[in-house]
Amino acid sequence: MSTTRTFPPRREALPRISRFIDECLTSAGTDEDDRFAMTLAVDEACTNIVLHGGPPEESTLRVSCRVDPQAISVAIEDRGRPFDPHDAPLPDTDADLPHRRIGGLGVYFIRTLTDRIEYGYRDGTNWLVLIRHRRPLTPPPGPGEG
Amino acid sequence: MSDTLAMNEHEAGDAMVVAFRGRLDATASPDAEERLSRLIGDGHRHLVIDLGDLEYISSSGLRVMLAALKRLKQEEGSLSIAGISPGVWQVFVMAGFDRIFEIFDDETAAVEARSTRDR
Repeated sequence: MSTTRTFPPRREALPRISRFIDECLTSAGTDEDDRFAMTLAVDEACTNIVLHGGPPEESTLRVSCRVDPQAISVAIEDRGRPFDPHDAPLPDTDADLPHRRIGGLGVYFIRTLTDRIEYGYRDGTNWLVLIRHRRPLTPPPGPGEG
Repeated sequence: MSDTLAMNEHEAGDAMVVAFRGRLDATASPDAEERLSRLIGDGHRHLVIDLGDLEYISSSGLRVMLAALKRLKQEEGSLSIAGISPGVWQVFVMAGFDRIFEIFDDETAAVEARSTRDR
């Protein structure tokens, strides 16, 4: 199952993009952990695009959500500056407060919450695919086990 | 799922409690940042952020809280978190924020810990 929708490349569109991903994954019957992970990862990727990518105002952000039995993949296309999340420095999440730097967490979340990231740039378009393998649901404890 | 952020504040002891409700993402973070900056600028040195009704937070929201915590620490103030929802807690842990913020079960516990400290 695959669904595609386009959005204006602006900050105000971010809640709508999250709702689109949540609805796509809910209707496909994915579990809550996968929905949480992919909604946040996609929000972070789109946030980077609208805040730092500088896509032309009249361009669109195209988001495609695909759910297979084994994996969820979300493809994001935009016309902003080239940006490969593999190249971004990661924050030190173990640093204490004085050494903790503000920023960098978005890409860290994307990398932590997904299993594979594909990226390409061609003819002025960034093409990013976030892929997460679907986790088998942990069965609830049986009688007397909980 | 809420699309917007609502913010309420009230005083409790010497702390100002700010409750965030809804969604704290890059769309809402400029307003949240402005609100916390204004409170600190007005002289409030001890903030308790109540996240009990916050449904969603992204790195943009975490950034606002980290900036406020750093500023308050420099000014010998404090910022603690009260009542965190499970989804938001998951994001805090992933970012390592559970180790740099003081987190309490609810507002009462956070305000009590504050007043005990000054005795």
